[in-house]
Amino acid sequence: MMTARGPRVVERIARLYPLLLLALLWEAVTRLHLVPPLFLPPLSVVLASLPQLLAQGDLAMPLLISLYRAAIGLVIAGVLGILLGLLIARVRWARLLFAPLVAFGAPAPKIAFLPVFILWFGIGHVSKIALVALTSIFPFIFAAQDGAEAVPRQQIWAAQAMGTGPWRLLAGVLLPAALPALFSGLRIALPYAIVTAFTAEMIAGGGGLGGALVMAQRYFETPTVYADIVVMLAVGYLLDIGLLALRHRWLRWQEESNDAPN
Amino acid sequence: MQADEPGSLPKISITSLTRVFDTGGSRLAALGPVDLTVRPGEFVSIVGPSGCGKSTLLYMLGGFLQPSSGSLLADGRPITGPGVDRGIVFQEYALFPWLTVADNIAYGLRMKRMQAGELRDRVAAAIAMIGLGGFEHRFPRELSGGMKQRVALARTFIYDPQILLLDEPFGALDSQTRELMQDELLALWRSTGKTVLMVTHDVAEAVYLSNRVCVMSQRPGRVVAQFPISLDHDKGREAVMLSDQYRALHDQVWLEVRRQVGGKG
Repeated sequence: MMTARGPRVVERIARLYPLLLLALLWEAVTRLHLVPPLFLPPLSVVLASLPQLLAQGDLAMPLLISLYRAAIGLVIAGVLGILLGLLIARVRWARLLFAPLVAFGAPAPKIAFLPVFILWFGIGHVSKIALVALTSIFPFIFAAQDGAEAVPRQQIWAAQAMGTGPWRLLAGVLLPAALPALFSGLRIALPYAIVTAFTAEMIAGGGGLGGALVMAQRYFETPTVYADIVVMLAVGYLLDIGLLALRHRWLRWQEESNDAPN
Repeated sequence: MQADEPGSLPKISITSLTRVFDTGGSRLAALGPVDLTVRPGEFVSIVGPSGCGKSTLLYMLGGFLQPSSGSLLADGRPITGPGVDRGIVFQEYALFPWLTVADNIAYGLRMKRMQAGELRDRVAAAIAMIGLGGFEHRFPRELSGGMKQRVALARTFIYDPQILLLDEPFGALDSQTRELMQDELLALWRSTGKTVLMVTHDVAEAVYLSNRVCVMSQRPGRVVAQFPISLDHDKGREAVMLSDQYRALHDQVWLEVRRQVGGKG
């Protein structure tokens, strides 16, 4: 286990070398004074500002607020979206009722609802959570529907022959069968959720890392702006890695041929 | 003729059963009319040309598809949907890939809300019986075809349905594994006395296992010939398959199937 794991971590880090190239380019361009530091401060200055920002509480607290909004919105979207997707896949009236709404809503620019949500819910948590939920519900709906529709009918029949009722079929057969698809949906919905939380905060204020970034920009604290951006990038990347690790753990049963990311 | 024995209510009665598929305006007659009676404890096989609707017939008995006309009775009651009195085993196993071998086998018992202790004992016994000790915690993708079909048989036998519907159960297996599995099925059937209706492509399999073989015509499939069979299985597979009686029956059924495949309509 140890011998297999060690090289894999090294390999994974080694595969990030384009990031290192980009970082070097950034540092070089700024050190050579090719761009004014107000536009782009050196990466080293940005990174050096991180501990100070952390110490002042200007990073952790806004980040936690943003992640809280993204997480609550994502959970609401997950629960509702999975339920809707399974119902659309299996139940005729649900398909007739919800499928047109989903087709209409999925491609809509969700950010346009932010003014409405602010009107309804104020500029605090609730309007942001509502927007996150609205944005990230669609990947869950599609994933659950696709996953449930891909279950071989013999598997469903076998379950029914063994005494599985309709609700039990949804929760005990279609839901686990759709798990690989749902993980793919989650992988799309998670960045949606984080991006939406940051974006809503940048537009509407009300704290959070997006709000902090806009405030820093307003006072021309460019290193802080870039520090916030770096943190946003890192958070997105780390969450995606965590997700892949979870999938590896939970979906051991999955056929190898389906393991390839799609 | 044995189905008409006094006091033996038929386990399955199929009367004037048809199935029509609607394919975008045009209607395609897929099956029937079929009349067939199976008595309790009987092992009946259905053979026939590809696409004759024999699997459709089985799926209607399972309650998964609705007949277009005619009547279907199990134990004298009309079949209106799936029920735990009728277990089914599919060619492609249809195991739940997210459940381990033990959990797949336990599924039907869990649906019956069996107590945890008894359930554990029954599942352990079933796993021992199919020779999969040590594989309890493996997932279906880690099993060979023969092992998967053993699990599928065990998960159906364990919750004790009165009627077994087998949809080309060994069609995906290599011929050695298939013969092994046939003998295991035979032993299970002989020890449990269940009523079995099996659909198969394999004439040898049908003749070897069954009390009666029904041959169906091309689509829309009807039962065109029935062959009662009584082979003495106590002497073992070799003795049965090399006997003149078996060979004569096999040739008769094979010839009838061949006629149906060749004949039009």
